[in-house]
Amino acid sequence: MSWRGWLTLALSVAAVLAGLAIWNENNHLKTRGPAEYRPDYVLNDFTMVSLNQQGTEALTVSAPQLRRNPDTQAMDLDTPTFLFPDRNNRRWRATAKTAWVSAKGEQVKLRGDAVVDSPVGDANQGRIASPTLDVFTEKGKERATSQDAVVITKPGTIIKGRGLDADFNQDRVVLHNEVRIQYAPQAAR
Amino acid sequence: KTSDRKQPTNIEADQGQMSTKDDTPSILDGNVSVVQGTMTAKGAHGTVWSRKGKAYRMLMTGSPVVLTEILDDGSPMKATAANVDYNLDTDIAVFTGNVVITQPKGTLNSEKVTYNMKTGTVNSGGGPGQRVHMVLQPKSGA
Repeated sequence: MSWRGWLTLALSVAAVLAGLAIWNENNHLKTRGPAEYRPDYVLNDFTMVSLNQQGTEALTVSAPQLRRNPDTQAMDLDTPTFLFPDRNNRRWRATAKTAWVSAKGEQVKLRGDAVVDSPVGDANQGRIASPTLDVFTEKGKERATSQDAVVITKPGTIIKGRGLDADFNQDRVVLHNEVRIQYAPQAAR
Repeated sequence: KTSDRKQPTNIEADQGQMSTKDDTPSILDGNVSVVQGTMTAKGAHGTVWSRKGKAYRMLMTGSPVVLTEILDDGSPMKATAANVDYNLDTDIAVFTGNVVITQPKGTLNSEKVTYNMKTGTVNSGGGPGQRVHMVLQPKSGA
């Protein structure tokens, strides 16, 4: 085989090896769970206000610990307490065992006993509880979704279902499956 | 039955759009069932109004809606209709569309029936040209 043949063979092998290395690294990146990366910074016992692109508050969060993923700039938090302002500047409060916050703070994934409470003093004081809740903070389109079982409570009413889409501004909640509602009795006659 | 209003109202459906605000209707779709004490209503679609956690009006449509209830005098009542608009505060139910009301004392067919679920009194009439058909059972031994 001429030297050109050997050169072509060598280059082909090198290309295959390079491809394998890249494929392996990608896989490694994907399987990196929240806790498996080495954070580029860690905050302890903090309160943080995250601003959106308009420069207004997207969310405020307090937690014992926050770790930032250097690759995605997303953040992982333990037992966080979030405050989400809606269009009327009322604060919805959310807690969970853990949370993941996207780099720009426009999406929050609450995991483990996730709870969202409507603003304090709101005429329609209510609570949404589910094993998982995803909160989207885009200004004017603040909402929460879940694929799990959900329980919504407000004075006198219990609403259960599976698969949620809640619009914070319209105070409107859609449940996609297995809806069960219980209203309190009318006044005793 | 009057005592039904002292029971919670339980509603089931496949899907639902609810509001946390008072007086804003919750819209329910698919196998809608409403139970309050002895009153049971089943239909395809339901709209429920509530205030301070208490349901006060229920509008159901179906093909047909089937509503059953035990009246204060203990007699059973069954109604089928295309639409039922039930005011849970006044106990007045308005049935419209191919209405059939069945009770031990007889059967009533009409296009529209306004029924007082507390007293069992009926105000029926479909409108011009629509007839009411009523069959009263003879008193036993008469």
